[in-house]
Amino acid sequence: MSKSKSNPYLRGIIDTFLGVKLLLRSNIPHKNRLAVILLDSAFETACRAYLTYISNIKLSDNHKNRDTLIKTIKSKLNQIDDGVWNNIDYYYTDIRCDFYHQSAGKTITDVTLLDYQDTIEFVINEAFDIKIDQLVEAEWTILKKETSTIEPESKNKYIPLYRIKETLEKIIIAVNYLKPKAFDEINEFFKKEGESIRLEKKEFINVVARNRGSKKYFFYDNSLKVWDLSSIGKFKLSQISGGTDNGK
Amino acid sequence: MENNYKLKELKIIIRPGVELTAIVDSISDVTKLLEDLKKENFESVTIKPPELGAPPLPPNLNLNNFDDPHSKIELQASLQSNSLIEKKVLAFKDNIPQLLRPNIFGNTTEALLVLLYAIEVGLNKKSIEYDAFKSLYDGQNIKSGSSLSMLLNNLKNSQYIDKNTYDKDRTIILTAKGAQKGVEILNIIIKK
Repeated sequence: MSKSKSNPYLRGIIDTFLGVKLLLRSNIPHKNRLAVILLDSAFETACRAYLTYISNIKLSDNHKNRDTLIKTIKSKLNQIDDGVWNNIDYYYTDIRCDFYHQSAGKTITDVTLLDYQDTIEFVINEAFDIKIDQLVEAEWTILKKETSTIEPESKNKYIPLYRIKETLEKIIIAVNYLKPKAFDEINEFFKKEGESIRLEKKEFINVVARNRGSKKYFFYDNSLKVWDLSSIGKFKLSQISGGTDNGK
Repeated sequence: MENNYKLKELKIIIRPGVELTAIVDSISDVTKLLEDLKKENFESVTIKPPELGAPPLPPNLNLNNFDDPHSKIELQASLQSNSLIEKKVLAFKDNIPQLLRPNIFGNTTEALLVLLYAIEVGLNKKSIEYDAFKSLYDGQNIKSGSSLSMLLNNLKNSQYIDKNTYDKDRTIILTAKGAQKGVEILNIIIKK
């Protein structure tokens, strides 16, 4: 997780994803169309960064050609299925180029766009051994704190703490909401929510220490110096908030 | 007599497609309910004979533990009791399914189907949002050469997950065909 700070070339890629996130929350009618163009830019930038800084290949004029660039990175990342490259190629040839050069009126559905984004993120994760969505999410949280112009995300359901019984579950909600640097931020959150429990530093450390690591709920983001939820923690949160309810 | 068991629910088929579920505490509750139904002209009670060729209950089935997600899956998939844990296939901790050896599956698609089957049957959840499922998937350490969205689109194209709900907002629901495939995969792995 410290890679985003130690490797400045990731900064530009993360910022492009932040741009996509901002764009998708806007009311611009053709935002999906513009997002495809931005995502393709993130992908191509990532390809060049990978070849230059990870594979230590000196890029030549030949690599300005998209086909050559993809062919080179494909040979380096051979753990990725051909289907993924074909999928990205399809979006580039049939959708992105059409959007960029020809059809100003066309766009794609939300689901198709999210699937495309997921595929781009997959290649970037494999290339740099990171979780780009978590890095973007962490930066997004900071951005939200710094600016009040970002609309609240309707997807993040508000979970009233008084409905939750388990202290661990309350901490999961607080950590997801705050991305705290220290335990006292969680106490402030509890206070604001009218929650009576307060954590001692020792208790907080006990809870997160017992529940950290790849198969647990929390992890410490060394790059941003904040606590966040792991993948399993996010799944647990979705269970707490009813994200996997019946009959949806 | 009632000291030997506990009554909870009574299900009565009033007519085809109409099923009544009543909460009962005692035999007298059952008698009273049947009398009341009779008064309302629900008289003809036919006892359906057991279907020929119905599958026998799995051996060593633990009938006392139906609420346990493992037992639910073992019952539905006709697996031996405790086989999921004994064979180190699937475990639940705090209601979170975990594939214990993701590499025992023939491919990632099979691992995904078992995970979805575990959610549907073990946790009794009929659907799951993409983001929630992605979080769960990421925590499984499954090695795959494809992105999750591509794998799910493959499942969609094979009619293992519902196309309409996925295309609408990426809600994932196993189809009957998908659930059956999940059962097949589990049976093959357990018998290995």
